[in-house]
Amino acid sequence: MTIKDPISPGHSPNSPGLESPDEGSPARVPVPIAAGGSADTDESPPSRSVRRSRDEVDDCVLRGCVRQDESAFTEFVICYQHMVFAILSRRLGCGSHVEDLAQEVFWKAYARFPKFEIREGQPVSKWLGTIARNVANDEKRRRGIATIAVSDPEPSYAPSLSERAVALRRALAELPERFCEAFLLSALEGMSLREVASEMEIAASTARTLILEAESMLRRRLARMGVPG
Amino acid sequence: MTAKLGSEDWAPQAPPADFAATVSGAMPLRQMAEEWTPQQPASAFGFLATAFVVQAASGETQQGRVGLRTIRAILRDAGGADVLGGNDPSKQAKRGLLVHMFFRFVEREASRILAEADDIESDEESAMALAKDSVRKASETSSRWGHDGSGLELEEAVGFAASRRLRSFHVEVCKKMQRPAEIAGHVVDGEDERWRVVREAFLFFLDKQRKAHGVAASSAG
Repeated sequence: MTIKDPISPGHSPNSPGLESPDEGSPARVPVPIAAGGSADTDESPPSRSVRRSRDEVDDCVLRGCVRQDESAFTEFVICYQHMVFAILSRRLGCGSHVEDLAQEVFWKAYARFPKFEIREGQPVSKWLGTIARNVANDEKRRRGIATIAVSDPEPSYAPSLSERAVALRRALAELPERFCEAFLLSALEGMSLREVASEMEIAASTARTLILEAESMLRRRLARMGVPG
Repeated sequence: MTAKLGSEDWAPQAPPADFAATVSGAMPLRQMAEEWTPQQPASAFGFLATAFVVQAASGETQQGRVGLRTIRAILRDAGGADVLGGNDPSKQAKRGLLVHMFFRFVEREASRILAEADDIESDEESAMALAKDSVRKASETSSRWGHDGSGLELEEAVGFAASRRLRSFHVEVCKKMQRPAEIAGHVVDGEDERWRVVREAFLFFLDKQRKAHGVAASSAG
């Protein structure tokens, strides 16, 4: 099983497809959350390198963000807003709170940009994604959500979902937390196995087990719901 | 199954069209709010509040939506200041709610008011009626907002400082309306003043709207 290369034509930060986790897929999958090599799960700006791809903002924009230039920051937000909304809304359900939290994510980035070091090898999306997940996790704790929200607090904000997507969401919410998170990172946020391991601060072999087992559990649950796999 | 069990199945919430512009515009204000300490002059808060109003009125935030978190940050900072009004908890709560309501009004209702401004009469009575209606709706929103505890947190945070902050805000609004003499030494307190502040802010919106359409100034000036 291999993970689709998110750099392939048509890829967007929110539409990475999953075929399967592949421990052997190294740093060829840089977006939307590229392999950073080591765990960088705090929210401090990356002090190592920042790898570029066509889905990442360029150095010029990043330098503007470091200066807290408004137009550069606008471009930064435009580039990553879909990624941030996806991370938040899939964990917390859709609603105005996602807009507020997304603003909080970008605020944290804005405030930390003056200390941001632009270097090759580590994409800014990884840093921002970690901030977004931390914000989402804080909100999950506050709202008493164990895995993901099974419904949308404000359905008018939600896109219409297929029957299968609704079933997937419900099934995913029933998984143990670590399995759910591993699947989210891999299947829905396009991370490689190594990236999942880095993000969750676990061994790659453990990440692989979590993802495969999550898929297996989801498959069984969807089958019980009568949803074709 | 898992080959396609991914994002194409489960579309996330999309950001509003104006999200990037709104967020970028709010960041400097948010930073000011975060950096502002209670030791700084109260007018700093008035400046921030006015900036929000101007942003909303001018359409810079497009939806009149500055961002709840940004507003909360400002009001949270306001909570630590030395203020007028004593230690009466009920008054503090009321003032906190007043600020809460007013900012909800600004945030949620400005764009609607601007949209409707063309359709209403320009006399103050109509303006007051719409302003009251807006605040009533903002209050209802505040009540819902309070259900998860955040509203209570906000009231606690701002209650002690609200009077001075509102006064500053009022001063700034009146300055924008070129009526500084009228508000010299003014202290916002009580039910009438609540409507007064809202009315003047609302008339400020109306003036902006009229000027944008090349219509003569209203009775607000």
